[in-house]
Formats: sequence, C-alpha cells, structure tokens
Amino acid sequence: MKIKDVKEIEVMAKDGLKKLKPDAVRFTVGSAVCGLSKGAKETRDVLTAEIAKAGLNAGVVAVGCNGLCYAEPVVEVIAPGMPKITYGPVTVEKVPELVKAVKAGQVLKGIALFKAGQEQLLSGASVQYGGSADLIDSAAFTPLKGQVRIVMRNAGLIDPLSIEEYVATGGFSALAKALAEKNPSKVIKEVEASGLRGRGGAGFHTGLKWKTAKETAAPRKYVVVNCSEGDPEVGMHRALIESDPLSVIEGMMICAFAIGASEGYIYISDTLAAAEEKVRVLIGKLSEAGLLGEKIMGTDFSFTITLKRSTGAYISGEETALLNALEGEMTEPRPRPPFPARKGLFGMPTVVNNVETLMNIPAIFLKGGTWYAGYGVEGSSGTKVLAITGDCERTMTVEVPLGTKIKNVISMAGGVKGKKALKGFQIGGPGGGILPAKKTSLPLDYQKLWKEKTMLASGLVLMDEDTDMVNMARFFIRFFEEESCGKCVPCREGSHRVGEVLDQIMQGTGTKGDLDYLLSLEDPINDTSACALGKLLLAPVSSTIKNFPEDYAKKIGG
Amino acid sequence: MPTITINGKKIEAPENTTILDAARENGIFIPTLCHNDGLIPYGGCRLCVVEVTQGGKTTVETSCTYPAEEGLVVKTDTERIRRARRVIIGLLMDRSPKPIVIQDLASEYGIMDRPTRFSIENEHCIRCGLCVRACREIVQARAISFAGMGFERKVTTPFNESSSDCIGCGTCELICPTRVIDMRDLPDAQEHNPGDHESIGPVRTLDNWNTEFKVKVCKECGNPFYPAQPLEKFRQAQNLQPEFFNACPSCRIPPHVDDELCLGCGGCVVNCPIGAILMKEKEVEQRSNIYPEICTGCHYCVDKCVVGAIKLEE
Repeated sequence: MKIKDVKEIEVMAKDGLKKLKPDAVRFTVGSAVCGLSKGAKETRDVLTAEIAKAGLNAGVVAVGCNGLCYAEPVVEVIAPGMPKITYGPVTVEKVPELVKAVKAGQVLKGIALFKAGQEQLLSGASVQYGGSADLIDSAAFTPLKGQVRIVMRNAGLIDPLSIEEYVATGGFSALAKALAEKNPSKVIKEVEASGLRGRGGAGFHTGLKWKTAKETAAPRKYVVVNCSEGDPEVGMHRALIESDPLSVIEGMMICAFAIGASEGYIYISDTLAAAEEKVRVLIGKLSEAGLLGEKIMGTDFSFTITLKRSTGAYISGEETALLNALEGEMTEPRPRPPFPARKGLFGMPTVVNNVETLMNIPAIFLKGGTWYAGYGVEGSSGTKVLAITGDCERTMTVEVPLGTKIKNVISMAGGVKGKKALKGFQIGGPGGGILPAKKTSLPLDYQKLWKEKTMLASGLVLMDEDTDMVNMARFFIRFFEEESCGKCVPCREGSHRVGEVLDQIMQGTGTKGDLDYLLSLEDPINDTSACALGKLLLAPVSSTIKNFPEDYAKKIGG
Repeated sequence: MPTITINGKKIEAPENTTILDAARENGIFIPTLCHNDGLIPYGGCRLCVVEVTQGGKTTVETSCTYPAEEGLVVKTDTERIRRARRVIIGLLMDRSPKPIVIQDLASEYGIMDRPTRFSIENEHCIRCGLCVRACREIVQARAISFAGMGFERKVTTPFNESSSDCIGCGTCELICPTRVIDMRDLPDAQEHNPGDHESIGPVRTLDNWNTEFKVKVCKECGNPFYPAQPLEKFRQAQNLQPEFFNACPSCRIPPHVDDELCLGCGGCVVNCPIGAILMKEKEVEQRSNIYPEICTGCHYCVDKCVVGAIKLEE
C-alpha cells in the first residue's frame, strides 16, 4: 500500500500485527551473518521442507540477530496457545524433531533456551502469547538478565525486509508524529533532553551536533550514516543494521526533518555486503510505499537516500575521511575546524551519525527525551550495545543501560572461556588500550572510561590468563600500521616504528630504553596526529606497559 | 577583524586567515614543511602545531589549518610544542636523514646526534604532498597522487605507468622541498630501437613519473626552450593564437610599426591575441602602436599585416 497521509501508518500497523502474531505457526530463523555462518540458511531450507512434509500450517521468516550469537542458528516458534519459545542452536539434524514437537504442541527439551509470554513493542502495544510451558522465562535467562533493549528492540523479532512488520512495532510513527507536528526545533529539543551521545566513541552530544547543523544557513544539508565498521574482530553494527535497517532509515529521516536536509547518504562498509543488499531492497520498497522520495506521507517533507559502498578501511569510519570518500577524494581526514555540522559534505552542513546513534532516535522522539534519560547515569544516558567477543564463554551482543558495571556484562556472556581467569579486557576498540581484570568494576560511563584513557566503542574483548600482552599490543599496532591512511607524519611513521620496536622486544633484543622510547612518544603523537586513529596509536602499547609490566619484563629480561 | 594573542602579543588578524598567516604577517616564525602559500592548507606534516586556548580549553592544533578566530590565545614555542616537533622531526629523520630541510630542522631542534634506533632507510621523499597538491590545484593536471596506505604511502602516477595527464611542466620539481624529483632537459635525446637508434631532438624527462616530453624549438633562434605540451595547454586555456608560443622568451622582441606604410586599418589591433596593440594618433592620422611592456613577441601581427608595415627590425 502507498501511504498518502500520516494517519494511514496506523492502518498499516494493524496489518503488520497480524503477521507478528499470526493464526498459523510462525518460525523465525536468525539469519544475520552470525546465523548464516553457522548454517541458518540450511536450517531454514530444511525447516520449510519438514513443515510441508508434516502438513503443518506454518510460515518461516528470516529475521536478524537477537544477540545470542553463540546459540545460532536461533529459531523462535510462535504457535497459537503457546508462549514464544526460543531454541538454539537448531542444526539441520534437530529440525525434524522440532517440527514434530511443535505439531504436537510440545516443547523440544534440550535445545529450548527460554520462553516469552509477551512482546513489548515500541508503540506501547504488546503482543500477548497465550498458554504456558515448563521453561525459564526470558527475563530470568542469564544472558538476557539486566538487558534493556531500545536499539535492539526489533532485533530478531521482525523480518528486516518487511515494512509492515516494522510499522507494527511502532516504526515510522515517530516520523509521522514529527511530520504531523511540523516542529523541527521540538525534535532537537527532545534529542538534547535525552542526553544521547554519539555512539562512535568520541561521545559528542547528538543534540548539539544537530542544532549546529540546523542553525547553519546553507542551500543544502545532508545526513550521513556512518556504517563503516572497522574494529578488528567486532561486528556489532553489522548485526544491528542487518536486523533492523528500517530503524536506521527512520532515525535518519527524523534527523533530516530536524535539520532541514532532503538528501541522505548511507556509507556502508564493503564487509557488510548482506546489510547493504537489505538496505538497497528497502530503499526501493520504501519509495513504493510513499515513505521515501517526494512528499513523504503526503506532507511537504522530501527525502532521498543514496547508498555508497566504502572500501572497508578503518579510516573510512573517521567522519571527515568518510566525507572525503563520499566526494570521491582520497580517504583521509580533513582539518577540523570547520566541523562537518558547519561545513561537511560538498561544503554543506552535514550530520554524520553512526548506526547505533540513529537507531535510538525513533524511540527517543516517540517516548520523549526524559524517558530515555531515565536509563543510564548522569552524563551518560540511555543504553549501549556491546559485542562481547574474545575469550568469552558466550559470544554475543548485549544492550545494557549505561552505568552497568563491566563485570556484570561479562557475566552475561558467561565469563571467561574454559573457566580460566580474566587477565585483561578491551572496551574502546583498538585505540582504547587494554585494561587489567581488576578494572571490571568500572561502569559503562563515558567520563569514567575517558579517565582510564579508554572509551566506549562497539565491542568488549576479553583476554584470558594465557594472553601475552606484548603480542596483543603488537597485534593492535600492526592493525594501526595497516590502517593508517598515511597523511600525517606521527601516525604514518610512528605506527611503523612502534611496530619495529615491539618486534625487537618480541625477538628478545629489546632493552629497557625501548620502553622509555615508546612511552615518550605517546603525548607528542597524541598532540600532533590529525585524527583519532593517530591520537590513540600508542594506547595499546602504553596501557600494556603500565598494566602488564611483567609480560614485558619476561621478554626484556630485567 | 578578529583579535588574537600570539605569544603574549595582541594581533589583529585579517578575516578568514589562519593562525599561521597571522603569525607570519607579524614576524612570528612557525616552522612548516607541507605548507605553501599558493596551495590549500593540508595539515600533513604537523610541524606547525601550536597550543591554542579557547573557552578555557587548551589543545594542540595545526596553525596552517586553524582559523584565526576572535579571542584565541596561541603559544607557538612552548616546551610541549617543542617536544612534539622533536618527535615529528625525529620520525622524519629515521626515514629521510639526508635532505637539507630535514637536517636544518634537526639541528635547530637539537636532535642531530640522537641515537638511531632503526636502520637508516635513507629515502628522500618525505610525503609532504606538495607536488601532488601543486599538480592538482595549480596545474590542474592531477597527473600524480598518493598511492598506498600508512608507511607504504608514496607519490606516483596511476598504476606506476607513464601518465598521459602529466604535461611535463616541472611544477612538482620546483616545489619539492627535498629535491627528490628527477627532471632533466636533454639537448639531444636518442630513441634506441633494436639494432638502430634515431635522434629525436631535445627532450625533457621526468623519471619519477616515467614520462618524456619533446621540447619545442624556437622558430627564431632554433634553440630548444620548453616542452610543447604545457605550452599547448596554457595556450588553449588562455584561448591564444596557434602561433603564440612559437618563439622562445628571448626572441619575443616587440616588432616595429613603419608609420610610412601603416594604413591605420586596425587589423592588427583585432588580431593581437593579448591586446598589446592600440591605435594612436600620429600627427593627423591614426597609426598602430605596439606597447612593448605587454607584447610577448609572438609576431603574429607581422604575418597578418596586409601591407607589411609591421617589421621585426627597424
């Protein structure tokens, strides 16, 4: 259907709700890249065949990642008269048993994880599932305990490619509300009241960024989604945009409405090919549904989205380098000031936000900034999505309120793999340094983490007691060496030389003087580098020298 | 005009300038490597860093890119800045110890005799990007660019092949602070074919970009003077006559108008590609008059005068 009026969105929502709680059985298979790599495609195929064989009235839907990556392929079953039951891992061999159990109205023990009696939707409505099952409730399930899902509200619940299902959960009602009220300043006020900070790592206040872009007079303005994720071994944004691309697009459109932009770019990393394909399909579908293009929902607001593919380099996630890349120039950072919110893409005011930041926006505008600020702590409001990886028992993606202690997040992931002791962890991406195990009592709080010379980025990487921290530092320096764009001297030359010194230390030819030399580079390189990549270059080295001196002593020999 | 303070001295900076420009206008020296007044500020070498205090916050910024805004307090030579510059120069020395610009900086910052931790690599190119930017911004040829990332970054032509966009103007060679670009003008080049070689006359070679250009020979004196391609590019850009660059600069002598023969028809005024000829009253009649300070000596008017009144020699 084509939406010609803001009120028609409610009609679409009613149709969508029928899909979320159908009269027939609904199987959802987690088919984001984490699921596909564990065989979700095969599970889905076999499931479809088995359903036909058993003559079951059921549909199979490919959904995104609900965060339980360790249990992929995850299958959720919504059957009439039963609570929603989550199974995982559902390998191909388990499928016939599962279909048999569902047909008999039973729970397949062994791979059943938890049940859910209802689904709270963003719109305020909830989907109630009937019946009961002898299973632990989702709220009591350890990996989910303590999670608050705002960004991941639709992850694993809806078909990412279905506009109707998205609308049923309350999607596009935030945009419809904004368009109906016709008050861009109010949107910015709500975002400011929410205290939302950019989730990319720098933690700049999103509301302030938008306000600057709104107040700068210019013939054109742009909204750019930074979806160029490059942290090594972390795929948080990939999971988010693959599971719920429409939230990103809606957030983008609300931003465009607030600042007065009519063009947007989604800059997506080449390593996120599956997500890119989904976004491409959705841009077409949205245009057909009257939710993109000229006169959206029958109002004066027009918006177009251009999808651009990045090379996947780490530097293309730096916002000014990203703008250079969009303009077809070399992917290297621009001098600041001017900041992109004043003079960005093609010299026009541009808001560059990352995926997670924008996914918060529809929820903030629909429920109000103060509601959002109710989560989290002073100065760090809302929730944060973290991909937990490394030496952890359960590799997964969690969303917790800010202020949650890091050790609580670690326990969601089941602690360290193989009951080993935790030696250190990394939370700020490669430039965030490696903190010792005792620092797990730190809360997820921007200021407190900055004080520890780290930050809040997309992943939490655990390192067990067997980790050699010199080797770890070398790994991250090698990463920086490869990913440095080479524009400025401190980063280009520094990353290579620091790597050389670490090589010498690892080969046993290092001296104490080498460590002093490395530490003496930290402040000057931080002062002089052009962008955050260079500024944080020494963090993996200086943090490991400070926190794990014994590892270096072993190599240097006194 | 915004007022800023540099090293305790209050300075009125012109609108839309950078800290570096404001400092230099007022005789305050800030070292640079990748800066050139004719190019857009780049901020690559980071040598021009200064301490900037604004709104109670002190940060280290590159003065070549930072706009001189009202109320800035700038310090150009604190210990923090000197230390930062020492590290940058040291990193450059590790790779390119030989160029004179680097040695000068190293001796000024007292790090000439520091112990070398790495094997000296002795490269001359310091990746300042002046050649790349001059080729793009001034010549507008975009024949060369940076390739590779990080330490592997280098200046080259696309795919390291001979670039058809290079016009052999030599701007890159002129602007390079470390003299790493090898440009030669050879009086008589030979083309070597198997078992045979043929003289192709004077050429200019740019080995860094794998290019070679035939040099134009002056129509008047027969001496080689400049590669033909850039001359042709400039001629087209300025919409000049085809004969405009036929003579070398020293042969571009303004021709002489014979008042006896001149009809005063004004044809040469119309024909002159750069408007160096105007009519002037001589006694009672109009006669052509060539302004020697404007004339480039292309001698186009000599060929075009219908009565042969314009001559090369008096």
